[in-house]
Amino acid sequence: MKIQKCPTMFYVTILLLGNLWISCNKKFDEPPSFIAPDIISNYTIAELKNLHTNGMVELVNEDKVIRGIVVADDRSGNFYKSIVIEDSTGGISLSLDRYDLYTDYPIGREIFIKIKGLYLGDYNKLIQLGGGIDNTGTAPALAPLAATLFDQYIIRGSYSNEVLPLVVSISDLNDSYQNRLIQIKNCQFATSDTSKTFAIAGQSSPSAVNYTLSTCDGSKIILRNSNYADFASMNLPNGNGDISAIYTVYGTTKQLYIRDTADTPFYGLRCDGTNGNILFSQDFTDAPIGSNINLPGWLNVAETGSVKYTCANYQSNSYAKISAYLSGYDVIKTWMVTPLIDLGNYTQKIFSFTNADGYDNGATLKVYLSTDYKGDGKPWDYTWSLLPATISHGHTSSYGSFISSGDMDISAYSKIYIAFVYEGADGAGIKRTTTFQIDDIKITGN
Amino acid sequence: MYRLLWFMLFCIPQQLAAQDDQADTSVISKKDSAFIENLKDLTQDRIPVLSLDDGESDDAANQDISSLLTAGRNPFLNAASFNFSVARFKLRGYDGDLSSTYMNGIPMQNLDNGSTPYNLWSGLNDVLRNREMAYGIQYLSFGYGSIGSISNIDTRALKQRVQTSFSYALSNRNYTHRWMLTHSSGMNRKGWAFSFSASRRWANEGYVPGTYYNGWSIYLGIDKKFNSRQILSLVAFYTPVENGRQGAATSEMQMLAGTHYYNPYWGYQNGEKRNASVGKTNMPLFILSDEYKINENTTLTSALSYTFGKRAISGIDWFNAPDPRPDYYKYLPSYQQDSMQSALVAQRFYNDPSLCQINWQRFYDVNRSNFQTVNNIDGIPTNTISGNRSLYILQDRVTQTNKYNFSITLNTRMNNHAFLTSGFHYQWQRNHYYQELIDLLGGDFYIDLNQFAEQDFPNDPNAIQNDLNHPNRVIKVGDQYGYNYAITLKKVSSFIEYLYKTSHIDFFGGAEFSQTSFYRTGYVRNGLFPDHSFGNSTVNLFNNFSIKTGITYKINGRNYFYVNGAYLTRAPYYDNAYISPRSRDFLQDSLRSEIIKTIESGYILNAPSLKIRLGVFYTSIQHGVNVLTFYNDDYSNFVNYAVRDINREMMGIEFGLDAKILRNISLTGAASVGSYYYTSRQNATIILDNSASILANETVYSENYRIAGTPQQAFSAGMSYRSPKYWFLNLTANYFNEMWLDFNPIRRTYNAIEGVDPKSDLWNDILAQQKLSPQYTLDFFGGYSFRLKKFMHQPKPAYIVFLIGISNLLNNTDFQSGGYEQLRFDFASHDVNKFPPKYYYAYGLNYFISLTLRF
Repeated sequence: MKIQKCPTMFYVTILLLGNLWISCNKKFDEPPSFIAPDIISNYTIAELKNLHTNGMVELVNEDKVIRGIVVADDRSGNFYKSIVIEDSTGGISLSLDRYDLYTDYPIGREIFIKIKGLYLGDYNKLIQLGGGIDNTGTAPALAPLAATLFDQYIIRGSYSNEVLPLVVSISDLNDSYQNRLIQIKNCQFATSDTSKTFAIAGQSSPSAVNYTLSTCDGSKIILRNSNYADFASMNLPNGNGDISAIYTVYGTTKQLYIRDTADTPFYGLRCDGTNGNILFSQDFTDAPIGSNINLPGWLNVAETGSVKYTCANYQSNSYAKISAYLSGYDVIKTWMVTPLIDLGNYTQKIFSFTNADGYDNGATLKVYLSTDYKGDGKPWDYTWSLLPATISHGHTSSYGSFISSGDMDISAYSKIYIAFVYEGADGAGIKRTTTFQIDDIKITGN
Repeated sequence: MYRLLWFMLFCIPQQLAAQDDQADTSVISKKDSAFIENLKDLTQDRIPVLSLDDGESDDAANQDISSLLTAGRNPFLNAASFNFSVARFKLRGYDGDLSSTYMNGIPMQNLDNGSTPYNLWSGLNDVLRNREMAYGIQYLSFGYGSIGSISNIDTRALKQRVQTSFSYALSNRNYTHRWMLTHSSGMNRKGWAFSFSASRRWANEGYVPGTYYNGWSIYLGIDKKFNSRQILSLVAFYTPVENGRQGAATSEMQMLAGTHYYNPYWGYQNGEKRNASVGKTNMPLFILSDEYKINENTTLTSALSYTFGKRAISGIDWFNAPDPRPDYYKYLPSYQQDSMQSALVAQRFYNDPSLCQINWQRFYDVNRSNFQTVNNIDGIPTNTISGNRSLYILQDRVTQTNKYNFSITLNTRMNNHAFLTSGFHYQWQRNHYYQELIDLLGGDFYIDLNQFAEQDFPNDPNAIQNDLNHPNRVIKVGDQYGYNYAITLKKVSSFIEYLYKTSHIDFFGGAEFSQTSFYRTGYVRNGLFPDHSFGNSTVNLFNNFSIKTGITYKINGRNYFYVNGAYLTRAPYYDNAYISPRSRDFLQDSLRSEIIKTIESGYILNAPSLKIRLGVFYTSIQHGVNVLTFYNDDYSNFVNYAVRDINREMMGIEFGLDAKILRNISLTGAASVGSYYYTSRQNATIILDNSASILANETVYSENYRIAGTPQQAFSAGMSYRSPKYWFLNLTANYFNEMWLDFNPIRRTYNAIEGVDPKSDLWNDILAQQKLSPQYTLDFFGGYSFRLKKFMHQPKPAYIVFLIGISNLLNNTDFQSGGYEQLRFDFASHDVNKFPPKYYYAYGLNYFISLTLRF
């Protein structure tokens, strides 16, 4: 072939191939990490708010820079087209015309604002900073700042700056606390509200729900939640605890807004000493004493060996009991499975029970949880996760007292079965015939 | 002798640039086909270029360009091929799916959209020079063909010109540099023929800012002649290309950016331009063909082809984050209700050009600061992941194709007068569509969720799952996510054609029968449509036929008169049948085949110094269907328009002239004057993509709207001078008129004008179809060649050929060559300016200069 005889072709081919190195995919260098700018503020949020007269919309002429840390963003959807910032003198809400502001201004971010050219207004006495005047309504209102102009006024600073909430009592609250992150101790929802959800998802009008929070000294304040919040369908916590929230006003009404459900950790005992919501409980008082446990919906079945849980009673307390003693089977494995438990939509779900052992010689009691068991009577065909229950043991020649299994956190689950599995042996060889007692099975939700 | 050679080298009309236009990312493309770059490339080498569909272009803006070259025989096609392509001229107003291309006996059109996959052989112009071209209704010896432009390319090794050629070209269009090397041996005494061609095309930045090009092409052909009767041939093509693309934009955005060639797809990253919409094609093609001369009069051609590989287009995907597109309508001055802020926004755009482009740095900042813990990974409640969860990622939308083709064609000369061609084709194609994550942009992971479903179904955790069998799946680089489905298509056809020639009359007739079927296979169970997304759908089957006939009356050796006609039915394409194949297998109601009727007639004069073609045609296409999809951020959802009862009529006059007026000077002229209309009131069903709920069933008052995407009137006049000293010049002037913008069917409904006063300007603004301004261009083409007496001891003479083509000599940068109305319309305010049309502009002055050594 001519190619072999022609050195020019060879050189040319080399030239062609030599372009290979230009051809490779451009791999882009990752840009550098964000470096916070070096800016000093020369104005405070309190001074800025002083420029405002309620009911008016004013252009800010002061050529100054304020600094604030974001204490509320729109990540959960409870805040809409606004973020709240706070410095040591006060807090203010920024009206910004865009969704998903949390991507640029998440909670904890320090931001600097060049206020000249921005506008101050208020929403029924709640002071806000925005981008213009909206004359389309009956009275001039504050127009939000256009998205394309954010970077012209707002300079982004460092992340993860912590703002500790100011601990106040409801009676302390006044306008100087507007849009600040505050904490009120020992709050709870009204008993009649505890079965409700934070808001009504999908309802557009009215767009939010108000709840009354009370403290143990009787003071009350409103908590307002938007139907567009992603926690709208979550159940309200039923206990008592400290709320962290942004303090706002609507005219003369004091209102709190939370960022998300972590702001309402009401897991303690209520003011009247009662507990949180009990989702599931069983203390075996309804089980016939002396018979195999046969409660409605419960499964009591032996996988191997023919031993079952029975109901026993001591000093007027009924409980479930199982033992391999004198049964005669070589291998004993028995399951006691609860009915399907619907845990609802709570932030925190805790499972606990009490148990005792007697004449312990090595049999085991283990507690499991399953989400795929179908209630068909054959639990061993499905997947079960072992729960970290504290099981009483070591009482080799008598019965121990009931101890708690400890609080087991099952907050991640929504619909479960719980199984108590006993394994023992009473054959010719090794004997493992410990007696176990189970009582006060309880799941609480908050 | 030299003159002949020289003449062969130069009797090719000049080239012109076509446009590289890709559609807006807010519009989902329904057609997955070749890129225009390939088209441009062919025109640069004065290779005939056929109608095609641009990949990823909005359905309403088929960037069809139809250009044909018949090596000097048809003056109308000569002019139409290159001169008209700048205006995106479509021959007879037909879409690219009415063209057909055959290579070595195989029909090459994709079964998914009927277009010709030019990208399979792009960059290999040297081996594509053996082609027969035709258009309209004809007797063809290589296949049945369609009614538009028809091309038969013989790429076998033995048909390549026996020579070695090496060329370098410089251009300022899609690519800047091109090397090409070709060598063909011809058939040697032992019966072997080899051919090899390779090229490299690249540009760091093309004509449009932010675009780039990186292409390699290789061709190999091997033939073995067994005896005087049989030749077995194998050709292999591999043309991987990566290119940064361009998008159309609204007038407002082009004004803010200060240029008609504003490209919203790129932005700076670390000081370098990074394009978010990068196309990659990697599809080898193999054709094994056998030509068997049964006897002197009969030839049997059989061929087998296989092509496989991937095409991908990248884009930014996002979840629960602000829209990343710099030209998103809410970021623009026109969206601001407050005029003061509107002016400030405009000012900011003017002062800071980087605002017009993508802000890559911000994606990294957002992703790196979004530390999240996500529960319930893979549906297991205790499975969690913590880390920086990306809210912006770069994805590839991939089409992985496997295509097999088997064909047999029989040619017989029955006697001196009668000829017969018949054949059988079996075609099978599977396209697998999926998304792939290619860059986490600074984050650690992404989660496979449908962000568009979250707002509509806040209480249903299943609704937001893309894959119910693996809910909340963690996605890393290289993982497939999102939609994941395949369409399998099959077409079996057989045809027969008969030609009878006498001294004065040629008569032909032909018929074809075909069966087309397709079905969808879903690989993920979509949370919104759990029972209709996973697994195989029912098979859609269509039986079609075509009959054609024609008669040519030869008045004498130079004057011909012809009348041809055809009647055919055509199956719908899968993406116009399935409403939203990405999530489900729902079909349009009442699917049926189109009916096409066409008739043409004309006069041909073929004298040595005067060639004239004058013809008229009429075509009607009825019962077409279409599905359009776009994103409506009011619903936070995609919306599908399923349109049916689309009837079209195209009719016109075609004229071509090639006259040698002096010894060295010739004049050419061409005109295509037509009227292409929609002739029915269409019916549309508007469907919300997330729930398949029907929002409305509307009549579209589309009657007498113009077919868009082509100048319905195109004229060109040119003059060539050929010097006996082996150089030539050619200057051509072109004029284009009646270019119409593609219209949004939902804006021509009762709902769109409800409550609007019929006498008001608003009424007209809503309903009228926009006509683009007429344009003219001037093109120059020239060349020089000289012969090297002695070149490396070669026995044959060597030639160096220098060619230069400059298109749009007057640098007309206001040439709106196409565009489309956005599918979004604000029914509340009826304001047509809220979502204004997007436009493409033809390049200003552009050139292609090449230097070729041949020996």
